[in-house]
Amino acid sequence: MTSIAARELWLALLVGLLVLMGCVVQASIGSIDGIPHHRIFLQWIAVSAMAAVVVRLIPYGFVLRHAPLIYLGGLLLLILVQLVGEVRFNARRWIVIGGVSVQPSELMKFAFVIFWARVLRHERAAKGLRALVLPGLALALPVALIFRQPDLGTALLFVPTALAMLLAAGMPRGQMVKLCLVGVLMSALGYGLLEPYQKERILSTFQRERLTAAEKAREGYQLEQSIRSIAMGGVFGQGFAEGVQNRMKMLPFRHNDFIYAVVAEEFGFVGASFLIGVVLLLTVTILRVGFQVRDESGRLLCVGLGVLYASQSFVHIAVNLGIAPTTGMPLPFVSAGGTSLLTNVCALALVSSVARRPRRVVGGGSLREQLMRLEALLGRRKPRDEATARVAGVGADGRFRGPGVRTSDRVAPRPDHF
Amino acid sequence: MSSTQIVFERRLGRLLFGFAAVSVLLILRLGQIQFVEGAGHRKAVEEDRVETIDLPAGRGDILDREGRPLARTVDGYSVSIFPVQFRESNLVDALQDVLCALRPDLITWPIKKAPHELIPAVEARLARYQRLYEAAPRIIPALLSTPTSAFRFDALDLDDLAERMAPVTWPRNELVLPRSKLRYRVVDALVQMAGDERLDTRSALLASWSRSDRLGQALGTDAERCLARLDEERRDLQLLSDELVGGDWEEFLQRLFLRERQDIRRQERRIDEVLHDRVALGRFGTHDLTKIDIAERQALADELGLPNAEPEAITAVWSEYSGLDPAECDPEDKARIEHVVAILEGRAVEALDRAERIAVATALGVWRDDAEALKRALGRRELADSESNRREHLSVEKEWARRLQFKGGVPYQLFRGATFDVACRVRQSFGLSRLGFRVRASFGREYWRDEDGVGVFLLGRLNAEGVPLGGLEAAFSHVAGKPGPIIGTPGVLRRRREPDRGLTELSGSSPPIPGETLRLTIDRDLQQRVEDCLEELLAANPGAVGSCASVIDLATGDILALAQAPRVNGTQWHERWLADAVRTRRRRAALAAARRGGAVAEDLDTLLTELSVEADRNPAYDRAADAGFYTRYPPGSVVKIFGALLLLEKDQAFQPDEVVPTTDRGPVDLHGALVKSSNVYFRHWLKDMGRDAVVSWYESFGLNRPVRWLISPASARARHQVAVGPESALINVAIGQGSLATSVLEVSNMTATLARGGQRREPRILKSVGGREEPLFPPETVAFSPTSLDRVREAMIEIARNKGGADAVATRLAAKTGTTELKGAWGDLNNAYSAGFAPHDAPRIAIAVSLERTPRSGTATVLTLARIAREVLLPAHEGTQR
Repeated sequence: MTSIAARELWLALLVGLLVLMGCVVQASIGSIDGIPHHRIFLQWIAVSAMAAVVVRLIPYGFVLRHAPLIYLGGLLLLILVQLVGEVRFNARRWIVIGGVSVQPSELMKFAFVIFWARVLRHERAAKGLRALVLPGLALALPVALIFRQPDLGTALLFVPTALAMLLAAGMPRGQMVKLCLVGVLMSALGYGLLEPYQKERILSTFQRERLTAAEKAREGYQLEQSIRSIAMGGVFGQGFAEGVQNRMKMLPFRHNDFIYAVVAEEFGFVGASFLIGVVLLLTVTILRVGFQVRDESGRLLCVGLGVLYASQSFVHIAVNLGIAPTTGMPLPFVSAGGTSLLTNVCALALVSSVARRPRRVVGGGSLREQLMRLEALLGRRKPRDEATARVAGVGADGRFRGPGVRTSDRVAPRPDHF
Repeated sequence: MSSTQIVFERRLGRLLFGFAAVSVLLILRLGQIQFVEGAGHRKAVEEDRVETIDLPAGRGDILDREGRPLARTVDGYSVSIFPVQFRESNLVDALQDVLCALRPDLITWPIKKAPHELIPAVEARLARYQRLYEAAPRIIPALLSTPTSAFRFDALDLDDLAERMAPVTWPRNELVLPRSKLRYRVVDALVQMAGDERLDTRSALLASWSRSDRLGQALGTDAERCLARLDEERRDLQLLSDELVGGDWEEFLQRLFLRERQDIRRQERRIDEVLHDRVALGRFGTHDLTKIDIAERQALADELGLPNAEPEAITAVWSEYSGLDPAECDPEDKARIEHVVAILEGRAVEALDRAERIAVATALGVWRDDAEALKRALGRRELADSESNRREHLSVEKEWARRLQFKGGVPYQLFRGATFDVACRVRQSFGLSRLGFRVRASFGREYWRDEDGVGVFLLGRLNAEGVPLGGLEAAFSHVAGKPGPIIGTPGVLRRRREPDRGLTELSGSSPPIPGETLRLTIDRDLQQRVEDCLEELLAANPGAVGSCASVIDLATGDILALAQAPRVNGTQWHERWLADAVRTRRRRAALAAARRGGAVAEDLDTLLTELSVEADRNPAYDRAADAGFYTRYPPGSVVKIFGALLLLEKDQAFQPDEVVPTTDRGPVDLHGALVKSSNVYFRHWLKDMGRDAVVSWYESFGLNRPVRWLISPASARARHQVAVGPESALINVAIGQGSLATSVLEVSNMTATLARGGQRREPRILKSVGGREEPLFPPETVAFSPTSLDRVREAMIEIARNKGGADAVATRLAAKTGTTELKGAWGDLNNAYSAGFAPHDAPRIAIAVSLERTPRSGTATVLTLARIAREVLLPAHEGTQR
């Protein structure tokens, strides 16, 4: 019980720390074009906190049971975006509901992870390529819709998440390699489908020295300013609200897509490295929850959410550092953007829910293991050795200590009621 | 542990390792940017923060030879806004920002109301403060003597309180109040009573109080400060209201939006009209083959395989083939159609003569009139006959025209005459971060008597941006070439933008040095009277399109007057002829390049041709000094006086008294040939001299020679090449026709050389710069004997007496007339010329006059020549004074 509480506390602390950093940096940036993002950010924190409490109270099994509905809801919203979405910055990504702008692709990322966690929970689902038809379809549809918005960055986030979940679901190595090869091939073919500005962004990242001044001013401008902002930071940064680039408003989208550059400018190498450290720590914590949980669905959920979070964070930082093509990717918990904050906090609440309710699966494992567990539970038989006891989840005295290690969950009883 | 669990743990471990590796990679990259490449990036940021502002230098005033002003500079900066670039929602905020930048002392000033609407409110507040200040000694004891619990600070009535406390007297500076919460309530009450609920007032009062503990003193000090501030604010509002919006805020907003839209609608209509005309004329230029002469038509008919060379036959072929769609025909037919159409298009263009090509070029809006350029222009104009296609074409053209002409919308000048600091502040605050603002140096140039436009073509103009448009203003830029006392020396300001929007001036700045005052040799009054004479000459010759005159002082070579008619109203000229900004800018750039010697003579010819085509319509076109280049102003028989001198001096066989039978004037000797202006006589005698020798002789008198600021060396050189070029013939050279081109300035200078007895001096237009007298140009000598000069002078005196009337007699004028026969595009019209000097026995001035496109001969101008001589020599003459 203590370890469970510690995991939850640790998660809450890390998320709180990131949100606090977000508040500080947003306050440092202040209003942009008359929009007080820092105040809006605070409002969304309050909303997200309330939503997190609600999600935390819902058993994640309930969420998993309704995964298809959640997924279809997300898909519907994505289709709605195509029909009635609002165009900003030449992209149709938002729909306005009751005066509030919502970005359905942010919701869809998590809906996808939840859906896949449910679909891949059966061991056979990840063992054969044929069994991947339904999950593949579930992946392709949202990716295509998001790609069409266009939001290439978000669309590509699905790929590492899906691969990690397949990895966690036990897909054989050979099939993983084949899948990766297919992915690489499709990426090469997909390059031709990119818009000219997207190609220019890719070039501006990897061939900065070759760009003309006009090209730099067009597509490489943000990247150039981002790198300059980071370089201005030095070891300890220029201090809160003292960043020259920030105060002179040289960096566009510094409140969301380039917030890491502001962190690096104002808090220097120390602050920026610290932020990377916190991101890594949170990722490790989420994955450790998945590591410790005994339920296949919960484990996949944690892996999916953890990798999704890590991918988005690292891609954001990589874009800011100029080692990935520029794409509109906010830094979770730090960047402005209500939908992003809300969904990320809810996702963490879901992970917390998984951590709080490790699902012991009595029916898992081989017949022998099951019998041993049952006998141990009934106190009829002591384990013959320590290894067997660990597998059966019983102590050396033969008393039940907790859920054992299962080998499969073909017979899955209801959670929380053993 | 099961195998699945082991696999999962292993994979999860690798995943974590991967993320850790990515983290390390990112941190390394962070370090690389900050520590390895950091210096370069930081330097780039610093460079971006530094802005270099060119500070244009204003020009000095231009005065006439007596120090009377001709042009005066009023410089400053203008702030313009482009309403179309604002969203309606933030226009008010934007205006508030720019107004605050213009007047930073009003930084909290709300723009929601007009300045003049705010003044009463400020005055009311001022009055309340005044009363509060006066009543303070009575109010404060009342406040302090009232129990706090019974006191309602939020319901104080100043009048009532003051009345109740009237008998109480209390020295303002002696009351010491303990620090307590009461203090804040008292301050709140005072502030509320003063009707000034601004936070800064309240905090200022509290701060004053906390420093002294003496409420009365604090209140007194602060009240004085507030009174002063309010008073200042009222003055500022009044000034701002008057200066910025003329006191009428509604009118300002109406002008801002309505004028914008009206302008756009008006310009759109104009573009529509122009485009319709362009299309119509372009099609005409291609189809109409009737102007092709018979030889050309025959060649075209042969090429097309037609037996008949009549225009109708060729047009019929055109109609037949141009109506066919090549895409729907057989390959052979298609090739045939394309071949025929190509021939027709090409031949049609090549067959046009120069004037027709110019007309087509003008219609198509291209600035070269050679066949290739026209073909290219016609090739771009691929119009089908259908109405929808025509409309589509028009809409495309319209869009492009809009982009060219209305990029960013029509600017509305918000503020003019701003100081440099204000301009920088506005530019710094908004120029970079917000669309729709433009801050420019604005050099207003005021010209003397702009309505009549004295010497406008000669002076040229500076537009609001300081760009010279023609005349001496342009010559000072292009000929002087580099900064100096004539056009001023621009300065540079290097500033660094600070994050708080402030500016730090850096080293390396230099202030602009304005140009010095220039004094011309022109006599303003004489110039005006000569222009009057030319206007009258023009009025007396209906149909003539222009006239010009030059008056030179023989002693110094100073140009006393260089005038032309019709006179131009500077304002109208600007609006009418320079409205088409794109075309004008293109032409000016090309002409400037040509004048700098960056273009060959043919290019210059093309450019000036275009200008000359517009000369009829553009009264600002320089007829008097540089117009002769495009062979429009051959001097005619005026050159015979120089031809006569050449014969007398160089031809040993020439017998001036020998009577030669001529077919045009009968038997004449030299005197008779000059008086009667016999072409045959001079062709007969000059034929042995050779063309180049004759041209060279004329040039020794001043033909084709550069005149500083007025005729560039490149232009003079190009004229010389035309005069001795393959197209020029001796007959034309001998009688001043054909390719021998000149201007009244040159003819007057040649006449001056003759009148001085062979002493040639370059005419001078710039008398002094900044009080320093410009040196006279050194004289050069043309050798001829006084006897020869006397023979020519006698003939000129007789001509003047015969044709010049009473003024010629009174001024003792010697003159020679000339008639240039125009051909081609101008029909059977003449340019009338006359040149002379006076008094003939002791010459003081040389004059030349020309009248363009008149059916009359050179005689038409002699009366004007004599009258101008009278204006110079006998200025008190009645009837000519204005």
